[in-house]
Amino acid sequence: MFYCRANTKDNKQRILEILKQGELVSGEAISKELGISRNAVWKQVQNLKDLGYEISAETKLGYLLTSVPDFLYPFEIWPHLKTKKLGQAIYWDYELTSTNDKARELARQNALEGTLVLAETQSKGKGRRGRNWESAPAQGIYMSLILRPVAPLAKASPYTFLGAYAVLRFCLLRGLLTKVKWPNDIYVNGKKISGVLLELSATGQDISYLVLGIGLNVNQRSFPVDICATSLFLETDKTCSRNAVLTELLLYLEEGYKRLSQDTTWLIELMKEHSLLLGKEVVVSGGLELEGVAEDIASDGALLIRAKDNELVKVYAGDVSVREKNKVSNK
Amino acid sequence: MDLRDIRDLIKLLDESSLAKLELEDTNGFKLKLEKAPVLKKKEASRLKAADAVLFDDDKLVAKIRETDLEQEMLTIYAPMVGTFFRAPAPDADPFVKEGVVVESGDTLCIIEAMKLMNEITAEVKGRVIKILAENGQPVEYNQPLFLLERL
Repeated sequence: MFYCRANTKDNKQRILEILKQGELVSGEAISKELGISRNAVWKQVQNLKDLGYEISAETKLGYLLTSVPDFLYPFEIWPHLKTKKLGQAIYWDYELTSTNDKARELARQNALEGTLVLAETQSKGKGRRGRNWESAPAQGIYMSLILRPVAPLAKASPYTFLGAYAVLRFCLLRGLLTKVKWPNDIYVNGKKISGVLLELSATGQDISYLVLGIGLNVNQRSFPVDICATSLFLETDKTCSRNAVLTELLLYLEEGYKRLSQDTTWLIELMKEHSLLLGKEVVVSGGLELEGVAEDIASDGALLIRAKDNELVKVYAGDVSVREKNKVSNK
Repeated sequence: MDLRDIRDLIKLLDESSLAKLELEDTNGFKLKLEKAPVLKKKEASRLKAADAVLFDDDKLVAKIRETDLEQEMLTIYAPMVGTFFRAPAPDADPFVKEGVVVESGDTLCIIEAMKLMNEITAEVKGRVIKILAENGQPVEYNQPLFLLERL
C-alpha cells in the first residue's frame, strides 16, 4: 500500500532504478552509491521481492533483476507520466472495495486535485446503482481521479463525458470502431470495453470535489458468457502495457479537463459524433419509462428523445438501451 | 426564425438588464418577450415553501410556511435535475428515514444525473420530519426533498 508523491524517491525506488539497468550489481556498489549500509540495501531488496520483483542474489556477485511484476505501482508510472497535475499523487493498493470509495475518503481528507487511486482488483467494483464492475486482478485498469473543478453544481454535468472522451480518443487512435453509449459507456465493435461512474460532493451550490471512476478492460482473455464485454487485447490481439495505457489516458484526461473549464460544446459535439444511441429507437427504464427515438444531446448533456406522441423529452438519468426489432437489449 | 433562435433570444434577454423585447421580421412574424420580475430572497424562499403544495398535503404546507419563517424548519431542495435515490444501492438501507436525527454533513440522498451521483448532505443538525420525494423518481431543479427540524 502506497501513498506517495512524484518528487520523493525512497531508497527502494533508487535501488530499483539501479537494478533496472539490467546488470549484475553488487550490494557494496549499491551501498556506496546510495550512501546506506549493505544491510539496508539487503532489506530494500527483500522489500522489492515482497512487491513481486524477482531478484536473484548470488553470493559475491550481487543482485540481478530477472522479472518485473505487472502491477501499476506509482513509482513504475511516474517515469512515464507526462501530465502536470493528474497522477502526481497516487494511492495504490492491490485490492480495494472500489477505487471510488477510496478516492472519496481521500477527497474528504482534503487530498489534492489530481490524486489518482488505483487497485489491481476491486471486491465491490461500482457500476451504476449498486451494479458490479468485474475487476479481474491485474487485467484491467481500475482507477479514480479526484477533481476539484471551480464550477457551480448546475454546470457539473458535462464532466460525465470526460472519462468517455479519454477512452474514446485512445481507442479511435488505434483504429477501433468505438462508440459512446450515452452518457459514458464505451463500446468497441458493439461490446462494452469501459464504464465510467462519477460521484460528486457539493458545498452549497458549488462543487467541492468530483470523483471520476473509470474501469477499462485491457488484457482480459475472456469474459463470463452473460456479459457482452470486450478488452483491448481481444480487439487488437496484443497484450498491452497497462502502465502505458494509463499514462496515455491521464494525458487525455488532463487536456480534456483543461478545455472543459473554458468550454463544453466541443465535448458535447464529440459525444454526438460518436454516439451509439442517436438516430436509434431506444427504451428508457428506471424512474422514467419511455420509448422513442434518440434525437440529440442537449448542451447540458441531457439525451433528447422524440417520444411516440412526438413530444421531445429531456432525459437526465435512467437506463437507456437500443430497441432491437422485437426484443430489448439491455447490455 | 426557429425555436433555436427564440431560445437564443430568451437567453440574451435573461442575461441583459432589459425587461422587455419586441421584434418583428419581414415575414410579419412578431415576437414579444418579457422578463418575469426577479424576486427578492425572502420572497423567493416563501414561494418555495408554498411550492410544496404540489408535493404534499395542505397541513404540511401550512407547517412549512409557518415554521420556515421562524427558522426552526429547513426545507432541502434539489440542487439539480435528476433521479432521486434514498439509498446508495437498490438493496441497501435508505440513508435516512422520517424521524431520525442527522448531523451536519450526513448524507440525505443521492440525485443522479447522467451517471453523476450527487450526494446531498445535511448542512445542519436536525430531525427529518418529512421526506417529500419518492425513491427512484425524477426530481426537478428546486423541488423540495426533505423537511428538517433544526436541533
